[in-house]
This record gives sequence, structure tokens and C-alpha cells, in this order.
Amino acid sequence: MELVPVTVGLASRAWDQQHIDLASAADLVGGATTSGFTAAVAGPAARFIGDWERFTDALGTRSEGQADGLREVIRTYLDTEGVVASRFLLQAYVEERR
Amino acid sequence: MNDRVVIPANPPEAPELDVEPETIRGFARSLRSASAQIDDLGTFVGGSARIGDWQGSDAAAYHQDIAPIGHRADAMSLALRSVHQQADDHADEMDALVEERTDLEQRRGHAMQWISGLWQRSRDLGEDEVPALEADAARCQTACDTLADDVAGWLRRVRASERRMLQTFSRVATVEQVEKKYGGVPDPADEPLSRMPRGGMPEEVRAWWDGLTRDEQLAIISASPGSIGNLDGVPAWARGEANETSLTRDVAAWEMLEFNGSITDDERGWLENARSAQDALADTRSRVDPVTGEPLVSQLYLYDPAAFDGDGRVAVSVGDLDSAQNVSVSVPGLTTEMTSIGGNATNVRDLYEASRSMHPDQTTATLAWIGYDAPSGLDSGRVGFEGAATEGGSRLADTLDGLRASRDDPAHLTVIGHSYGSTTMGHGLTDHDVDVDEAVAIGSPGLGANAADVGDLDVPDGHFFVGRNSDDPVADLGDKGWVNKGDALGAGLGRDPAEDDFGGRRFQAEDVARGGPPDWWVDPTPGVPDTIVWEHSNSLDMHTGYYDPDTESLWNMSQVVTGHTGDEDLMRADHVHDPWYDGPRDPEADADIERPSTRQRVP
Repeated sequence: MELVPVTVGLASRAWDQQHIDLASAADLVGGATTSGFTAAVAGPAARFIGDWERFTDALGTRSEGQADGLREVIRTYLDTEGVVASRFLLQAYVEERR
Repeated sequence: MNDRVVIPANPPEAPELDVEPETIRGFARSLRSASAQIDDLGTFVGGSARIGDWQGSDAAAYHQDIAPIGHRADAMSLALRSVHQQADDHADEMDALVEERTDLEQRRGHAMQWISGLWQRSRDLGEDEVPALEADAARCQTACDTLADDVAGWLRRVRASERRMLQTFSRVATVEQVEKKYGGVPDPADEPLSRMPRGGMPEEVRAWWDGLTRDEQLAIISASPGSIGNLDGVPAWARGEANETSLTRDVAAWEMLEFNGSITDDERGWLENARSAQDALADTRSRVDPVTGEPLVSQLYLYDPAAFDGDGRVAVSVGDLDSAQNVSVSVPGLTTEMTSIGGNATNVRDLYEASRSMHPDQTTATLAWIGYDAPSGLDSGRVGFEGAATEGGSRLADTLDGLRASRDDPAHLTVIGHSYGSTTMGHGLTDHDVDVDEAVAIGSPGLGANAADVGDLDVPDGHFFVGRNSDDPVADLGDKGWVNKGDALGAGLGRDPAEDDFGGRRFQAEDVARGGPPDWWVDPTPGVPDTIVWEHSNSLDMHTGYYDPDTESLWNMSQVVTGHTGDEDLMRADHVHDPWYDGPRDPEADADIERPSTRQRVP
């Protein structure tokens, strides 16, 4: 059985934070005002920010996926019989905090 | 009418240019802040996301899985940064093209008047007048041809600028394009950041910054705004850009948490701080310079919303700190926190407008500096002690050093301390070597125990000034005369700088409502319609009006800030005197209160 250190839990929290940060970055991109451009540029600019909002959001989703994956590793580890020493510490990271 | 003379046709009109460069800059700023956020993910994957003490197949799979995420984040950050830079350039180009179009339209108006005049002259034309009209028409035709060429050239530049912007969008329209163009490309910010002096003197920082290319500087502002936003020695324009990148990013992140209902108490406080800075910048920029009519420049010189256990620290300028001939730094006192920046920015805006109006031939920048942990909230009790001022004086000295080091041409530099802020300023001037041209204490309870008289201050002889409203209860706290709390108990904040023994130059700073008139009254001037006039009256108001327009205090401070410090340039006031046989006497208590205009040029 492979040992899962508490740092895995800490990393899961950090990935959650990246997810939040990327979601706000996606909002920033999506909220960028394109009305200042000339008519010839405004349309492509609007399409650009729409696409990039999705790209950024997708990156955030991948971050969330990493956090979820690490939590799954912790859960599986804790379900294994015989894990005692770090159970208390790791238990705190099983659930997503926010 | 003579049909032998060919009158030129009307020249072409430059097409309407419906564009808002400032809005484009806002678009660019949003992308830059998002780019910084995405860059953080790349940094995270390459650093703390790696779990060194985790071994085994799961660990290997995890580390293999995260590498492409970091790779993509780095590429996306660079791509978004390129769009930001192009949008910024596009906004500058559009600014110039809008201005150029105004010029073209003026020339077209003149040409049409000229043509109209030619038509007038061509009617009832005598034979002998034909050669002159022909010559004039030929000149007009040449001018019209040149104008037509210029309009065509202008239009080509508009289209070219639009094309560059569109090409930039299209080059990074898909993630595949992004990966192909920017995947694995080193971030131009990384290498210069690795050479950044750590804990160096502002002069070293300035030398490092000047040694970077423009692209490297812009890359650092986008990729790592926190590393230079508050770094003394970096020019104000770059600090401002970097701090606004952080500000936009922070507000977006915390507002999202607020919306989700998962924001912590700390984060809520930081968000409130950040919004205060955002509002102060927007409010300043919504106003215009009293001389040029152009929107005011405002730079976010300090930004740290989580500093001092959440009180935050911030500095906002009115005017360009990098180029202004005169620069002032205003240090506020008790109850000041980052959320107070709105009122403090208003104060320095009043000082800016007065300085510009009174001396329109000089450029000035004024800085509201909340860069120390002033006594406030639950720890307001510290106001009776010098600890916060001592620590704040050190930070102030660093700021003054940074302002000096970041410029080639030294500004005429004035530091102004109000209330407990004057105690902080006092420590900056007594405990450190600073290089200021003028120092002003207003409403001062004392400049600290180290300032027994003006000789203890690191200020050129004759350039320390005091403004003290005789009815100001806080300014009355400073030690005077022979025996008092400082001498007897070691308590208080030092000596009253308005006292004769201190040796400062006192100027008139009486509050217009000195003596306690009612809160409001009806203007009794004959022939003037009834007007309710609000005035200060309670004792604390006597302490807070030093920056009010059309007051002795603001007028005198503006004179000092702009370097008009001769005796004939100031409204001089007599000093406080404390005879051994009696209590302190302030001769200004009976002096007439003047209302000099701070909105008019001083002859």
C-alpha cells in the first residue's frame, strides 16, 4: 500500500483555490467591454472574449478535476484497513471546503 | 461669372471614427489581470503543486497529469498578454488618429471656406482679375489635393491599426494555436525577475529596471505585478500599472467568492479595501485638470489590501509622479485605514487643483499616502504613543527615497503631515536621512520626542512650515514652555511645532468657522438671495479643514508645494508663546480670518 501524506490534502486545497482564481479570470475576460473598438473590430473582439472565457473556464475545470482526484486518492487510502497514523489529519481534506 | 477659372471641388471628408480608446484600455486591463491569474496557475504547477513526499504509481500519474496543465496555462498567459499589449497599442494609435481627424476636419473647413470665397470672387469678375483668381484657385487645388492625400493616408492608418488588432485576435483564436505559438516559450518576465535586486536600495532597483527592455518591463507588470507594485525605485507609471493589474484581479476573485457565499471575513475586509482604492482612482479620473481640461492622471502607487492585519495600505496620486515638477506626499493620522483613501484622495485633489490653479505654469502631483499602520479602530489608543509613528516614519522615509530614486530630474518634493501623521513625518525626518525640499506640519500634536526643535529635522534651513488653526484641540496637545507632560512624564508626542522656540515658519491656517459659529447660517449680504451657508463648528471640525478650498491653510500649502516660500509669498502667522509666568498664548486666535482664493492664479 502506498503511503498518502498530508501534503496531498494540502495540494487538493491549493487546486481548489486555482479553480476559484481561474473562474474569476474567466469572468474578467468575459466581462471585458468591447464597445470601445470600431465596428470593424468590435465583432471579432466579442467573439474573442467569448472563446477565451471558455478556454479559461476549462482550465479552471481541469484544476477542479485535480483537486477532486486528490481527494479521491485520500478517500481510497482512508478506506484501506490499517491506516491509522495520518487518518485524523487526512480526514480534514476529504471534503471540498468551498 | 467667368467660366475660364476652374474652382476646386470640395475636398473629401475623413470618415467618422467611432472609437473609445479609454474603453479599449479597460478591455486591455481586464485581459492583463486575467493573464496574471492564469500565469499564477503555471507557476503553481511548476512549484507548490508538486508533492515531493508522495511516492508510488498514483503520485507518478498525478505529476504526469499536471504538467500539461501548467504548460497550457503558461502558453495562455503569454497569448493573453500579447492581446493586451496589442490592444493597448491600438488604443494609443486610435487616440492619435482621433486627434488627427480633428485636424483634418479643421483643414477641410478652411478649404471649403476658401472654395466658397473663390466662387464669390468668380461672379462679376473683371478681365484683369482673372489671373489672380486663377493663381489662387491653383493654390487652393494644391491644398485640397494635399488634404485628400492626407485623408487617404489617415484612413489607411485606421485600417492598418484595425488589421493589426484583428490579426492578433485571430492568431490566438483556438487553444491549438495558442499551444503552437506559445507552448514552451520562456516567459520574458522570468529571467529579468531572477536578476531583480532583493532588499536592495531604490537606486539599485532603478538601475535594474532601467536595464530591462520595454517588453521585459511590460511582461513583468503582467506576469508578476506583485513583485514590483510596491517596490521603491520602480517608476510610478509601472507601479501604478502593476498595482491596478493586482487590484482588478483581486476584486474579481473576491467578488466571485462573495457571490458564491464562500468569502471569509478576512477576504471581505480585503475586498472592501480594494474597492475603496478602485473608487478613489475612478473618482479622481472622472475629474479634469483646472488648467488643461484634460482628465486627471491618477496612479496607484501603493496597494496591499491585506497589510497591517487587514487595515491595508495604499497610496493614490493626483497627477503624474514621474514627470511633475512639484511632488507632495500627504501623511494622514488617527483613524486612517485603507478604506479612508477616498477622503484622503479628495484632500490631495484639492491641493492639486489649488496648486495648478494658483501656478498654472507648473506641473504638480500630490500623493495621498496611507503607507503605515496608523492608530485606528480598536487600537486607536496607540495615538498617545509614538510606536506607530516611529515605524511609520521608517516606511515614509523609504517612500521618499523611492520617489527620489525613480526619477532622473529631481522633483521639488514636499512632505505634509497632518495630526498624528505629522508625528510620523517627524520620525521620518529625525530618525532617517531623507531628501525633501519642504516639510509642512498641519494640526500637529508634536513631531515626536526626537524633534526638540527645527534643527533636529532633516529639512533645508528655513523650509519647515507649520499650519495651526488656533481653535484646533489636537494641535494644542504639543508640549510648550518650560514644564509639561513630555518633560515630566515622558508622555505625549513631542513639542508643539507652532511654538516660537521650535523655530519653524508658521503660516496662517485659521479655520473659517473658528470660534464656534452655528452649523449653518443665512448669508446676510445685502442684495444676495437667502443662502444657507454651512460652516464648521465643533471642535473636531477645527482639526479637519486644513485642505478645504479657499482657506488660508490650503492657499499657503499650495504656495509651499509649488516652491513659493519667500516671506512675501506666504501669509505669515505669529508663533505660539508660552511665558514662564502664564499659560500658552496664540496670537492668531484674535487675527482676522482671510478667505484667499485657491482657484485663481497668483500674480
